[in-house]
Amino acid sequence: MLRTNLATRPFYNVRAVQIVLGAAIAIVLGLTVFNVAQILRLGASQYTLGARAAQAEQEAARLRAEAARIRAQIDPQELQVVADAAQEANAIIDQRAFSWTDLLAEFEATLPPDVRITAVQPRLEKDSFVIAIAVESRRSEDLDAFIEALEGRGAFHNVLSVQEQTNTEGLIQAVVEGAYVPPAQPPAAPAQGAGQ
Amino acid sequence: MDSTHGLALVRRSAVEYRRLVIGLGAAAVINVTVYALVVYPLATRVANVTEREQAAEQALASARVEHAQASGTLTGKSRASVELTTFYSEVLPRDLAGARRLTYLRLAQLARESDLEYRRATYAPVVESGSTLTRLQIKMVLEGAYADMRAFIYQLETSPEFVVIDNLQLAEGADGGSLVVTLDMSTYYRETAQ
Repeated sequence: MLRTNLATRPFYNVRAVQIVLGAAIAIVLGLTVFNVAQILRLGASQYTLGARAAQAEQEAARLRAEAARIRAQIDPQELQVVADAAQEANAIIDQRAFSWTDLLAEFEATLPPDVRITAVQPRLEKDSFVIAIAVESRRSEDLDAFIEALEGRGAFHNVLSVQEQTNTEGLIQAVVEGAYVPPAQPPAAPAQGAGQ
Repeated sequence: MDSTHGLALVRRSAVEYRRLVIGLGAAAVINVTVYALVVYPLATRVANVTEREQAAEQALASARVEHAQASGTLTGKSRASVELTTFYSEVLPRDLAGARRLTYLRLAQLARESDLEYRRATYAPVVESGSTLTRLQIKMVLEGAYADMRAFIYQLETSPEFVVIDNLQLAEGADGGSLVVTLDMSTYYRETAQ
């Protein structure tokens, strides 16, 4: 059988060439669509973002100018005077709102029989009350029982006998201090015959 | 040369589809040029605008905070001034005479109503440095039963008069059964210029 192709323009696989060309056309078309889509999308983004940025810059400048105008209206010295006065007023309102009735109720519930309170002084420290209690006690054990009872009830924290001495009668005179958080309720009316 | 294989075949098919191949090549070159000269610079510009927009949004948020703080300071100051005026004029006594009227008779009456014996009292106006208020310092010594003292304190702290109990001292009475109570109290007023 003769296998040599003697034709001057022999046949070749036209379909394969057409497929290659078709693929090339598809790629070029894809590139064109990509470029056009990118130009449209990026153009729109540039316009939108630019407008938004300009608007934000304008609004920021307006707000800053407005803030500067407001600040110019405020006299810092006058502001300080008002702030100091408000702080002072708040402090005395807190002192007025302090319930001695609740505090005495705490003492009634915690005071051991051999401990006597001689003075009580609350003071406001960093928005909370510290109570200084001057007490007289026969024994250290009684004083310790009083401190433990104050802590145990929950209204007092960090209770400490900050000062102690024994007087000529042999009584321990101590100053007990502790942070006091008043119970969140209206002051209870005193019970008749309460305390000692 | 075998024209059915290799480069010769490619060359031949390129010649046969010359128009199409040239058109495709030109379109590809145009696309690449458009990408290099238009799309890529545009994407860079958009990235820059995005950064600018983000910076502008941050600047706007900070300007809003600044504005809110300035407004808050102004309105807070105005509100505090109004509330202080109300406090000075409606809650506290207006002057020393008002403070005396509020405490002098009222405390003695409260002590009597609570069955406490009124021993003595001292009144002293004190002007503390840096304070806008004058403090009328009251020291009152009462004697009676513990329950009466507790009732007195309850009446005082639930009464509308603005009297603060600063300090409380307890001592045994002379008869041994009663209690001597020393109360340090204060009321405040604003000393206005005459």
